[in-house]
Amino acid sequence: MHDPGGLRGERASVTDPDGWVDQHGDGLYRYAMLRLRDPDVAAELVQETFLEALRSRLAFEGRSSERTWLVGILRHKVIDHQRRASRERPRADHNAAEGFFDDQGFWRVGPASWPGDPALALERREFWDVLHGCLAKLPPTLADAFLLRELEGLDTEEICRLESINPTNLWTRLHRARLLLRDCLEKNWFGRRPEQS
Amino acid sequence: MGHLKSIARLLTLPCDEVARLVSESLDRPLPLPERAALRLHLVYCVACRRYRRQALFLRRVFDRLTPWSDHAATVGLPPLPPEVRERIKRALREI
Repeated sequence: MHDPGGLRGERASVTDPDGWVDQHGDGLYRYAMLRLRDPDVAAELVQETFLEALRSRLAFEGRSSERTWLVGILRHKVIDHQRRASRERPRADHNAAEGFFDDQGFWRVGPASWPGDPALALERREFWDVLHGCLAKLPPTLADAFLLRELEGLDTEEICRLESINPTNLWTRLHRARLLLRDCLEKNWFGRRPEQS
Repeated sequence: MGHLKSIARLLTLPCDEVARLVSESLDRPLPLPERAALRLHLVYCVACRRYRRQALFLRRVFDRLTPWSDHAATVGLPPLPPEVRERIKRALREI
């Protein structure tokens, strides 16, 4: 993400911190809210991100975009916060995602055929609204593991270390998260109305 | 005898175990016997074929999700509350 205004951006942050907050505040807060689902902690970590970034502005050499740099700082803070929380309060695997299969292991209700090309949904604002609604419905334990895997792209070993769980626990959480999300998307988007192509 | 029993088991995996294998295949390479069992089940099971397609689609969704950016994919996430914005600006002025 090339930012030709990189150096200019740095000077802007020094001479106009207010504008800097206006420019990047929403983006950072949305990312924090997606990961944390807690407005108070999100606000706190976003503030700490701006403070730390302003103090260390000399370290920003304009190689990546300013937003990317700030998100990187915030990402570390979110990870640290969650790692501490996992250690202090280890969470058991959630019992959600029961009931998709019967006693014999068959689907109770098989996945429906999603009409057309599901990728077209990604171009629709309303789809993202539905997706975030579905994410918000996930049990926090499952959401955290799923986002570390799918949003942050961390591998099994890294997530297990952060969450203090073993790989089998992790794979169970991811499996349940995927079952629940798929089901929610089908009920609220793909199954409800046919996609116009 | 042990070999035959486990081969027989792999040939008749139920859908719940297949769905679990589909999910795991997104997180690590499956060992060959599981990979073969999965492929075989998908040949004859429409439901699990759909599940696999849709699970792969879920991954594409998240490839596209960049909550920190300023475009439409952030619909559904809240902006910075005004009082928080002001508080942060005040804190930066004190540096």
